[in-house]
Amino acid sequence: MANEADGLIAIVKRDCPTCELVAPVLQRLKDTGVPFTIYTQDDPTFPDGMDGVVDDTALEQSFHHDVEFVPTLIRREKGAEVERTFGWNREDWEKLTGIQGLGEGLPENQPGCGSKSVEPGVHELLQARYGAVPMKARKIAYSGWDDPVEQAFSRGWTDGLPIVPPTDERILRMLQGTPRDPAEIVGIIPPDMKECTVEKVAINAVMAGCLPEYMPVVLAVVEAALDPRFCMHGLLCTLSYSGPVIVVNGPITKQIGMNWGHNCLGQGNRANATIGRTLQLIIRNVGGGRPGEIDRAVFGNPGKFTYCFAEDETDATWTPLHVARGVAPGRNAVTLHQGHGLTSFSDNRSRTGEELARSMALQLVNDIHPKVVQTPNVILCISPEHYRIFEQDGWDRAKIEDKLHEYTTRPGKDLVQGAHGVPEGVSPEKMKDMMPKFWRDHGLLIVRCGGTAGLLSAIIGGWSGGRNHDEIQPVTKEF
Amino acid sequence: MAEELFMRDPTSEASSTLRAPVPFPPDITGKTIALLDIAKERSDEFLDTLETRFTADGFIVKRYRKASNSKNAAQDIVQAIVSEADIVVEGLAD
Repeated sequence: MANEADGLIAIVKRDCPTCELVAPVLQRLKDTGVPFTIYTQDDPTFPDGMDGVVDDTALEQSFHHDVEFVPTLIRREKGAEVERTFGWNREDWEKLTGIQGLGEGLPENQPGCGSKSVEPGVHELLQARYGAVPMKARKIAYSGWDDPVEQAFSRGWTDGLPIVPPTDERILRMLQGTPRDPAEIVGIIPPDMKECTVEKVAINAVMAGCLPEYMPVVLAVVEAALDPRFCMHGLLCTLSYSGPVIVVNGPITKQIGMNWGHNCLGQGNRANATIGRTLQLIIRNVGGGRPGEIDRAVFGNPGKFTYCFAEDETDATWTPLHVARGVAPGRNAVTLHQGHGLTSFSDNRSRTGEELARSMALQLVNDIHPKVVQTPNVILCISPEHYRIFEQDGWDRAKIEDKLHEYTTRPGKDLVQGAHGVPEGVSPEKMKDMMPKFWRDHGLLIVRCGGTAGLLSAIIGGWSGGRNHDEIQPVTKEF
Repeated sequence: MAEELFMRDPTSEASSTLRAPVPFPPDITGKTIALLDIAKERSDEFLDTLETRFTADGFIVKRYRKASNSKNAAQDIVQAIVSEADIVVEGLAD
């Protein structure tokens, strides 16, 4: 609790030249006999030789007095603060204390230093320890002898990897990443159909290892996943391989340091790794969607730990995915795809857009099964070197899409059940039709990303649920 | 070191409720059987076979179908089955 006594209060630290400067002034004020409490933040022996200095190295009083700078001088009357000043300014100190002639020989003015109680990360820790917190989630106690990471494992909170323990100070820091009310309900999480608040998102983001500045992306991802068109409920319990795949677009990708370049679909970038992981932890913890229970995936895929990357928007000739899907340039957006795995596509010999598009089509038609069409939606990640071949021929996104749809459209006679001795395939009544592999409006999502060297591209396959194309689609959400 | 610390619960904080299944009717003679097609591929083939056999055995069969296998059955379908049938068979396929 703050000191409720009337009189003067000073908060100082030794590691502050201005506090050192005013030490004689503090002594003089104490010698006047007015009630005077001095709190020291870093060294209980400072100011040297002064009696009655109160140790505030725990910063409790500094927190309660909301101190931002040292020295801070406060005057209290009738149990309440009536005036404060900080740093050293002779006129201000004389006015506050009512004592003239303070600090003989000192300069008229000298700015103070930052309080230890507002150093980065410290304030939230003090708020968690001494203040009121907005969190409503149940407290899970553990002994100081216990390892909280192991506690999380034993409670079934993790995806198989260790989590960051969701302590109050970490959650408070995470909540600073969004202006939204911690109690606001973001949506209803399947399969248990439970409310998920901003606070629960923050808790799981802490566990996943996010930084607070990722929160706007994380919240957009959760909201996109809950769009009925994304069908998160069906996706999380499918026999199929798929899970949510997240593409992030807009200025925020650079602001939070996402990777759209070398190894952008791999390990090593905190934002990529933890944003995707947060969604999966929310599905697990809030929604109750756990493998072996309602998650019936035959194989799953490694991307169900996390599958999140950014698009390379550094080439002005390229129309980014979110813009192609209706978001204004310069705005942020996430696009969620129901996908899995990675199919390689390496072509070192194509030198024209025409050659490369025909070549890519040969690989694109194979997703799920070469004879199954209008079922999986896919992401095609085109590397900068492959894109350069298209761009040199004057092909923009629209032309690349047109040509890939054209070259992945095949005669029904090759695809019907039984054709080429393979029972799988489309209905026999399609024998004379031309069959597109992908739905025209959302079946082929092209993202320009990847390292700058290498004539490689990549295909992120799609969920079989995509055959219900009116109900199940990739979702783009602006934020 | 042995002080009590705490974390915040990341779950929905719900506790599950165990509900006993409705007891199977002791005598199913003449009962109405609902066949729920979950809209997976070839569900209809499987349920057609069941309908033929149930009908031959004297049961009344009613057919219902979800909009897609990837989404929950709509509430009106669930309520219709509850009010119109005694037994339900939910069909999987592929």
